[in-house]
Amino acid sequence: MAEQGIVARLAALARLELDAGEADTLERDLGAILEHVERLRALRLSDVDATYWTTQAAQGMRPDEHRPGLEVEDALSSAAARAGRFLLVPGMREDG
Amino acid sequence: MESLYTAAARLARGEARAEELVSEALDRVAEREEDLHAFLTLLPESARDDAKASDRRRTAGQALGLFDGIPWAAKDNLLTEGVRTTAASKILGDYLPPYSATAVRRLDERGAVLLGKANLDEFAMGSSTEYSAFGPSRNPVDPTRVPGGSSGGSAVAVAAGMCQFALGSETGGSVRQPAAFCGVVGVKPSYGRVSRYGLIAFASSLDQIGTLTRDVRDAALVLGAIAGEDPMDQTASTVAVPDYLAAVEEGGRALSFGVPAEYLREGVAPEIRAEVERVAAALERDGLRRRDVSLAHTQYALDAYYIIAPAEASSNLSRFDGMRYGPRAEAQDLLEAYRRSRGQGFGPEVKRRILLGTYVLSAGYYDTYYLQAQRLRTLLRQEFLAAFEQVDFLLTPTTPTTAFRFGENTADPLAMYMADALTIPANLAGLPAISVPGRSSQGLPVGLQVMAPPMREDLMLAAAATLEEVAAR
Repeated sequence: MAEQGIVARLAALARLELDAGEADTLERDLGAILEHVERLRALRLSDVDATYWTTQAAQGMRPDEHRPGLEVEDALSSAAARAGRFLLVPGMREDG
Repeated sequence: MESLYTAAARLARGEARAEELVSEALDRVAEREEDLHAFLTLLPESARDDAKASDRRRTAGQALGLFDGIPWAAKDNLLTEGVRTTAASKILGDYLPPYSATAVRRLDERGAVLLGKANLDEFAMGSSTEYSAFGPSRNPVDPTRVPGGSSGGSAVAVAAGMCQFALGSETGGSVRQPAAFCGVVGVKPSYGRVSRYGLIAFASSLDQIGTLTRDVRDAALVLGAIAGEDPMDQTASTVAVPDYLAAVEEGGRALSFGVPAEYLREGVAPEIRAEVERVAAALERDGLRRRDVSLAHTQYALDAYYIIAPAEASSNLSRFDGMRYGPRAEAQDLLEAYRRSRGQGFGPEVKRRILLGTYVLSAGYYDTYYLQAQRLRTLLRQEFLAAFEQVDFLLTPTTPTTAFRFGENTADPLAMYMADALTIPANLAGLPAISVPGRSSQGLPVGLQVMAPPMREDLMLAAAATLEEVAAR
């Protein structure tokens, strides 16, 4: 079960602004989902290895050689703001 | 609309021109798109130009093969160079990718004609397209019902005859479930069979690009065109791509199969259970051997999925922050810009999953949730591999129910998640799986699922070809 006020803490970690209505709904949903997965938590699996990937065999690496990549102009073409070859972003505050 | 295979044969014989095929497809779009909303972006002009170029190549004896001149649709989470790609999210706005996905490029190089970008649930998170920021698609069989999701627009475009085939993507059933709801064929290849370069990432240990087609033979053709290693995706397997068309032509009559009881239990509609049993009996009559198999950990698959997928999504979606792509919210400082851009740009289901993922990865909970889910995944995979020692393929329903009505599951996320309960295990285990239409129930399509051992798409397609034939009787 999700503890009280957890959504506000998670939203801060996830850099996500929520309005009050959204936060209430998400707190309820999170509680219901976590309650549902309790069954899985209860299984004794400590002696089972984890599977993080299901790729079949070790895949090859590309040759380590220089080749053309994305042009800066293309890479920045969708940015909200830029200054020459750089992304322009709002400033950071000391307490931010 | 005719199949890809038939249309390609007519083009090759000079009985049709690509321009006619594309015109027919666009006419069909004009007729039905207002009702069905399959597309987020349509490309009538470039499609007509591409078709003319294809016809010129063919006249000059330089056709690029079977796909040359065939109209198709791409799910809008596949990057298409210079063509708006939104992932059905406001946070990508009018994003114009500077490059195309490998799967898109491979079809482009074969001369296939891109008709448009198909609708989906935002960032492929959903089972109905109701979470698209641009409004849902509707099921062509019954427009009061959802088409399934997240690749709902792709399934609708194929089912409504707007194009010969479409690409979708899967993380937990997002190709097979809409295929089942709309009455078309949907393939989720093995993890690693198709390059994901240029697929907007959702959950990277699960995501795969898949195909939506009118029949199994077309699925073999499209999969054969997009599969194979790719220097741009380290997870793309170097295992050679077999001749899938030959596998379909050979069929699966010499194979054995199992129907795991865990896939027919509570929650699966009686008429869907009955259809699976009808088809299983017909396969036995045709000489396929049936053996009992058990997959006891299936009951935990959905739980594991709803830990692993949000965890990976919360990490993958951190890149959408209003700086490099999409609209940026007005803000006093960087942190506020991140929070506002993301808060305004993401829809409710994406926020739900980001928060859930942040929770299960946070200090103190990682072992309890994420590690536990990955351990369960090991057991699930081992169980599947043991079953495949006994039988060649598994036959199950694709979905627990037929297409549901709009709004039926949006108030309860767990009810919506249940729509993927029978497809998720193949994603967690990295198996190939396909949904083939069975006999409709009360006028609504029913999907039959075949799962096969990892990297045995040939065997899966052979079995599916026989299943398709038997189910249609």
